[in-house]
Amino acid sequence: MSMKFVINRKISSRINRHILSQAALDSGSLGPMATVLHRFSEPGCYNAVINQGEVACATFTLTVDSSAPTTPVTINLGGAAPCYTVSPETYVVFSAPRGPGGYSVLFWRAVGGTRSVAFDSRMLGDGDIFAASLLRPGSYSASNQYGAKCTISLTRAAKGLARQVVGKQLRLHSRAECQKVDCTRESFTPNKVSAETAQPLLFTVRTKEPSLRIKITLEASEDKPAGPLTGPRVDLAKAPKKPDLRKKPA
Amino acid sequence: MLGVTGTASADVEFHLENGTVSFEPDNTIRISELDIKWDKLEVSIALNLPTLCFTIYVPIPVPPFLIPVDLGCIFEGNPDLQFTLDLPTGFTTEVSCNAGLKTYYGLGTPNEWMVYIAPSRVDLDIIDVADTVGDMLENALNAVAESLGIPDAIVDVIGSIIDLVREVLDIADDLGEWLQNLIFDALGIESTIESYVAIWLADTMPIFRLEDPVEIMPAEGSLIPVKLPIEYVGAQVNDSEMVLMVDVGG
Repeated sequence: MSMKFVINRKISSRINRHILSQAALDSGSLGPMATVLHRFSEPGCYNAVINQGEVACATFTLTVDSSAPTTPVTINLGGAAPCYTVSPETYVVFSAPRGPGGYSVLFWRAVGGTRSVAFDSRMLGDGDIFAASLLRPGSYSASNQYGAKCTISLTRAAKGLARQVVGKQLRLHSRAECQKVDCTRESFTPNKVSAETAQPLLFTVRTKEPSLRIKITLEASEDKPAGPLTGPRVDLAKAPKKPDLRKKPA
Repeated sequence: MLGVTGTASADVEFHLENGTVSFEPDNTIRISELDIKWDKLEVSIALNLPTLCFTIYVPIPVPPFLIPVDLGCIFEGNPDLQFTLDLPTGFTTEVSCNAGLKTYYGLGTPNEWMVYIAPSRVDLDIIDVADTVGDMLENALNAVAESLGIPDAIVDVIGSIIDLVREVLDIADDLGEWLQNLIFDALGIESTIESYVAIWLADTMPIFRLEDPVEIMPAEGSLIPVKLPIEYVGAQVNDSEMVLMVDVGG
């Protein structure tokens, strides 16, 4: 009697593939695996517009208040609330962990009857931080629009990633400390970085004028050859006969 | 804490073949070698896996000095993965049954004495299909991972999708044993089939019928048939034969 082996390919999955397939990160076009931190040092009320690509998709207000708690505020550009309040003593974190990304944010405030740009995530200024994490081993380059460049050599995390249970989530993070790079128009310091998968890469902007946009691009991946995934497999021809534990005693 | 939720369902069709009846000295009969031939054994599994987030800790020069930032999460859907397995139907499952005999009197045209099997215990002997179905589940999980289009290197990072699924499903080393238990025990197929077979044997299969009154001489010419009323029918078995005891009269 022949056995019929059929795997019905009715497989569906709802997984954010953008996280796992990203080959480029851009401080001016935020998506999964990258974030921008900015500190609003002047109290006041700021208006903001979020763009996805060239399209404005949401607005919100940010109140910078000296009496507000000094807890950092995280703003998800893919689903921002109508208003936020933050202390001038701390940072605002801009992220877009879901979806394909492509977000930027522009803040302005009305001063003396005119509108002035207070922050544009496409033009990072002094003290702004672009933080990223790369998952795919290989060679990358980080660059700005003025031609400065930094090479990043990313290897597999030797000890794997640390796991931490937070609520119903399992957080994965690198065991290695972050790699810091200072960025100016002319250079990245250091200009060669070695990192492990998922290790935080921190690009801190050191310029007088807000002007930098930092991009990280995969130059060459070190993917293993395609093959079956890990996990023990059963070789039916060689498998020892298992005792039939289901048989009821006579 | 972390756990998996999900649903599993089975679509099953089978028919019965063969079977032998033996008489036991304790006034019971034993039905054995009654085969379940599977026509369809389809199992659908939908899994809601724990959310897995890639997190970095960004150092800042002001309190709290370190900010955790989720850069992206996978497995945020519900369910995250869905797949259907068409399990091999070439294997045979044996049913055995211990039964007594029970006599009923049926009112109708004509009235009838009937002897039915009265199952006391039906056992399903599921042969060990763990190896076979384990291999299939392994293949299905591989197919799921392949369908995600995740580069191998990334699978390394998260410890492999399959290992994660195994972990959250609490599947130790034996996928097949887990799936076999899921299908036959957790989904209750074993007990359902045992019930169906018991009901079928008890309700639909009289092994002896006798009209009441029973005709002992047929009509002939102008003579009407001669019929004897049956006052009682009893059935017993010993190790060599079934004995019917009939009281005539009334």
